[in-house]
Amino acid sequence: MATKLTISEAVQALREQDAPSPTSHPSLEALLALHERRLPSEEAEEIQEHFVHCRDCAQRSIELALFLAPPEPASFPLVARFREIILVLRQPLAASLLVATVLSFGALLATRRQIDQLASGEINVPVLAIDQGMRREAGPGTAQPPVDVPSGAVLILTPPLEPKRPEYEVRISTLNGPDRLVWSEQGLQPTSEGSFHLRLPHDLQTGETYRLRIVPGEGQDLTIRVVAPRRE
Amino acid sequence: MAPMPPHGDPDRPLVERWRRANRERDGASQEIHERYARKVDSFFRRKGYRSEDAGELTQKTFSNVFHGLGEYRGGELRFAAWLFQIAENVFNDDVRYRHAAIREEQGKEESLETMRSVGKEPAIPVQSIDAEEEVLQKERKAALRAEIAKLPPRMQCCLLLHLYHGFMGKEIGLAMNISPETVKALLYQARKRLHERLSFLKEEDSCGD
Repeated sequence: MATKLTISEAVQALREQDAPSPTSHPSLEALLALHERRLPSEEAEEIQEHFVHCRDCAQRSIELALFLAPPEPASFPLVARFREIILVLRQPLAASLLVATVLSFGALLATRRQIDQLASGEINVPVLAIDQGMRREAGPGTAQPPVDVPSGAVLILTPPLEPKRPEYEVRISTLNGPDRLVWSEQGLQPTSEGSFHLRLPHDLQTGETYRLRIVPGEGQDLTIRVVAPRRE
Repeated sequence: MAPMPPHGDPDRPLVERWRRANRERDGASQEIHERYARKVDSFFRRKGYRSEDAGELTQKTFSNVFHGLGEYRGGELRFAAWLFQIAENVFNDDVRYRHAAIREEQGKEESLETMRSVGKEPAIPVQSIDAEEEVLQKERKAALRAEIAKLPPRMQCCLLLHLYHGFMGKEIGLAMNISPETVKALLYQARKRLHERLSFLKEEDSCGD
């Protein structure tokens, strides 16, 4: 009785007798068209049949398919994704970076200005206590010279207060030339000792003389001359 | 019938960027390299090259790509296929070079075809058989040939690619541009039909998985 064969064994025996394919080898363009499904079905079948007899062409078709396949995912998909995002956003990111740089530079300048201001005496703000007597001495109509106050100093004023009046207003106006209001602050409340803590605004010019008035008051004004702060 | 026009090339924007200006070129070159370096390297490794040699040939391929990219105009060949062609040319040049070196060294006349076929399956030696067995085998072969011819063309191709060349399902799918699942189904159907019609066949373990 004849022995049975597997399909592999039987077909291998056929292969020995099979003649090489009579058709010519398909071009790279034709293989590409096969992979892009652009070939008419008869031509596609013809090429596929050619593969049966021509291992090189079949292998070439496999290699081409591997080249045409979408890129394999990277070992670190998150990194690859991040890179893709960066590539897409490169120009907007550059623009944003430029804006951020300009803004940071502006903020840096502002900080620098503040540091300069602090270095010019703001760190140790001078505190000047001016009591009632001093005001009288320095007030208008007296021969007393104005009180020198450093720019940005804190004045502790103790004016005569009206009973039961909770809030006052401070006005600073120019003394030389026309009476022009430079600065004012309303709603000031005296401390329990009856004093006001008032920080001189920075927009007062050094060397200028001003009139400081607490309203309502009894016309007792304080004449101040702004001087440059002393550097320690 | 002429093939239909080529599909849109997904690499075209990248190639256009490469062309645009030198400033853009460095980035585009790097991206092209990143996109295809592994594929080119794998191509040479599958050809049997060691890691260092595959690396050298990959480098040579990209050198040729960037040298010729200014002249590349697309047309029928999309960029990936054009790059594949360059890799093939680099491989063929290397085979010729090695062949010449071997010939010079050994003084032997070896054809390029012989060199390229190194690594392929050796031909099965023909065994001596008696006359009765020979007649039986001829009948079986004729029957098998007739039954295979009755299979649908695609099924035939899958079966013979697997049995003649030893390709597995995934490789057959790549070669024929069909899914591995379809290949598996076609191979199963082919085996089933042949078993039903040919009594001299016995079961075997697997086929193309």
